[in-house]
Amino acid sequence: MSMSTETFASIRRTALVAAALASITVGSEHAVAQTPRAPNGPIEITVGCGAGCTPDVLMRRAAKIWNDQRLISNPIVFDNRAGGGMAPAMKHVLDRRGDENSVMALAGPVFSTPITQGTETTYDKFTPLGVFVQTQLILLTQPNHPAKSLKEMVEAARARPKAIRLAGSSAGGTDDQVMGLIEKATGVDMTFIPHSGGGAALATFLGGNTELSLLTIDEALPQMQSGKARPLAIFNQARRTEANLKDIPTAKEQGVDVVWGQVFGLLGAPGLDPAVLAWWTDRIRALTASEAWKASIAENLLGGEVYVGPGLPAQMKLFHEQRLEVLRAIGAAKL
Amino acid sequence: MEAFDLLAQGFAVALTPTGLFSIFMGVLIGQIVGALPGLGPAAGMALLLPVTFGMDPNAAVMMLAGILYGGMYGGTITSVLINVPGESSSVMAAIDGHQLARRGRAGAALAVAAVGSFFAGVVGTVALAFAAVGLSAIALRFNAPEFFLLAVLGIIATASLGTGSPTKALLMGAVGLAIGAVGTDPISGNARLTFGNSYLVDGFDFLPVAIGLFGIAEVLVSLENVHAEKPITTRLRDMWMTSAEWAQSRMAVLRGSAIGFVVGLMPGAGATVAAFLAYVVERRFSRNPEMFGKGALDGVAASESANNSSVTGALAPMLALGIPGSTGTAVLLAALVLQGIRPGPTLMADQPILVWSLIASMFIGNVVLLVMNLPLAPLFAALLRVPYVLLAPAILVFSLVGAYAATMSFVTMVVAMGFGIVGYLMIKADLPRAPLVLALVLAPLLEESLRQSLLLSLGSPMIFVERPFALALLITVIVFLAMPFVLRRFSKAGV
Repeated sequence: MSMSTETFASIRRTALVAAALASITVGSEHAVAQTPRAPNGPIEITVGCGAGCTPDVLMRRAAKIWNDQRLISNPIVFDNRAGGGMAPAMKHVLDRRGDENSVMALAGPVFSTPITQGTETTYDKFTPLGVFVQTQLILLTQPNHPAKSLKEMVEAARARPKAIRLAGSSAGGTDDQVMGLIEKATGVDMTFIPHSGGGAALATFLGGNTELSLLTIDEALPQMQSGKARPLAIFNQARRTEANLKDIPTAKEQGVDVVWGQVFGLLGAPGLDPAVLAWWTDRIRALTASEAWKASIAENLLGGEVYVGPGLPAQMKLFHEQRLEVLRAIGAAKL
Repeated sequence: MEAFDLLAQGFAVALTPTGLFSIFMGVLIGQIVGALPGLGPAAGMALLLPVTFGMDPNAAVMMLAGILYGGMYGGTITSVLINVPGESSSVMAAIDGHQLARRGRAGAALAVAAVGSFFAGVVGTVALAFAAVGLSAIALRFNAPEFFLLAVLGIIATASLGTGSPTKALLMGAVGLAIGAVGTDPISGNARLTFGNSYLVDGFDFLPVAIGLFGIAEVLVSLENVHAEKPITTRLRDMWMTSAEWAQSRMAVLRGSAIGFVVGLMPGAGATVAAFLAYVVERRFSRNPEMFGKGALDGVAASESANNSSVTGALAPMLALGIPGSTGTAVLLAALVLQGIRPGPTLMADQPILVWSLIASMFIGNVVLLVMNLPLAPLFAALLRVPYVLLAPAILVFSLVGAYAATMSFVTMVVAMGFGIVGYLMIKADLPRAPLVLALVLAPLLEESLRQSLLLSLGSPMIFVERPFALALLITVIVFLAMPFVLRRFSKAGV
């Protein structure tokens, strides 16, 4: 994501303008002019994890705004197919070639599961519709830990290899990836302790069993405010500007060149009619231009970069390559 | 006294028409999804999540929590009547409750489960109201090393399950652990024993296995002599619990509630483990331990009280710390997030009305559930008066639909049928089925926590001795293991 932030910031600005003139500009942006066409009947969004997981919450919020603001009149229903690193959910949508009503919620495992399980990549089999929301990550430590910054924590890890531990969710997941990136950037060796879920990992950290925890901003904030955890770094390109977050330095400014986040969006079935794709491009732009969506992004401390339109497949490839590189570096890749 | 003020405010919200309606709908839906095998309370809550979008946050949370604890009441019904656990934590009730049903005591089993659940729910809620923060802090001291020793205790206890030889029980426990190893390695994330089959990546879920081993296997055996299976002829008014039965179960309810609440507090242990531990502890205390596995009412009372209080207990770390300890509480947290409320240690201070109306609603919800369940217990039990030739196909359909509903995949139906046949053969070979199922529940906890412990200690086994709670549990494990030998020695010396 680091390399492309600026490019896509400009695309996003274009998107905002485009949204105002949606029906005219969208067609002209495509290589082949397409008149956007809405699918018939209800749209089913397949989510590869249980109700309440991050992509589920994010897409339900998007769906609500789409329906409430009458940007999409089709009913939107959710189908949660948890487990198997999202493989069963992906298969469910991938099997529905050309189906205009089946949509998959994009989340990290869409990229990482094929890499860690050594199966064929899936991200490039879907028809990508848009990546339009990101969660940003904060590295936290125990309130009484002597290290005052990420820099000092890295030094502590250098002094005692493997002694600094991070409690995170599954092996190969985002937490594991970020720790791998820190290790790669600094050459230190730390210990990752996998858990069956984010809740269990948080319990391990709050019980004082590990030095580190990696949380999204909205998860981290209450722990910071109640003094149960202290932030060391945020993995954004630049600091957040909110009063309660502006003092958290980026990893980059502490000499640890790691910029990372989780990306979410929607993927269509393979071989989707370009007219329906054009309609989704248009609808995602309308959503992200709406005040309700912008308010939700701000309130929930999310990232709102929008990747839609002709540049999206190349961006998906980039996301894949970044994850492949990290997973190879931490020895979790079988591709 | 501040807590009382807040609780009064909570009741003021919960007792509004909207509040009462949400509570009633929640517990009713919970009761139904709990009773349907496969569709557990967490799945029911997830289904209703979109509905709560437009609702007032207080009402939404009261309704979803109603499904959560209501499900614990509902799960007992199918366990007792047709030996198919309605949800995973009712598996102990399937073992003893169904035996009771075959003796015509289904009404008593259902009634004691309802009363036990009510008591556990109310006591749990009181503890939640007045000690959530302190209890959660203690619960956090339980982590991987303690969970591992807890799981070891459970595995040892499986030897005492079933009515036959402990060796057979332990053997079946080992088979359960082996089946539990299929799937994804919890630490490295590698596929293991899946033989390249993508359906096995998540391993064998406990529910289809239990549905097969208990529900389907039972039907298969009964079909061999279907004409000998006499429908139960107990009259409706004789189906209620007798005062002797209540006297026998009173203490079990008390102990079950306490154990369930404590286990519930620990994020990750779960209602099934709570029910199981309460059951094995009760066996030690019971005046007639020989009845366990053959239809012990106190066993049903203990395990059903425990699963209900564990659900209440699990709310403590969620409300006080923002840690979801179970799938159900995770959905509840998601509902808060969807409402724009940020769960975490500041929740009780930031959202006192939400938290306290939830607590108040749980008192009301448990009363509603008791009123709903007690009179219905004999009515449900009367269903068993249907001739078995008609009942058997219905049980099979119900079991398979349940297996399908759990994952929306036909593969789980095949798994349930496969384990149905395995269960049939086990009955024929006189091998106990409960140890297998429980080892399967404990396997992930056992493995994950052992390996996490050793990662935390950077490889040193001393982590099991250095932590006070771990040390206490380790001593308990050693005592449990040594007891049979010591007792034998003493009895010999006595002779």
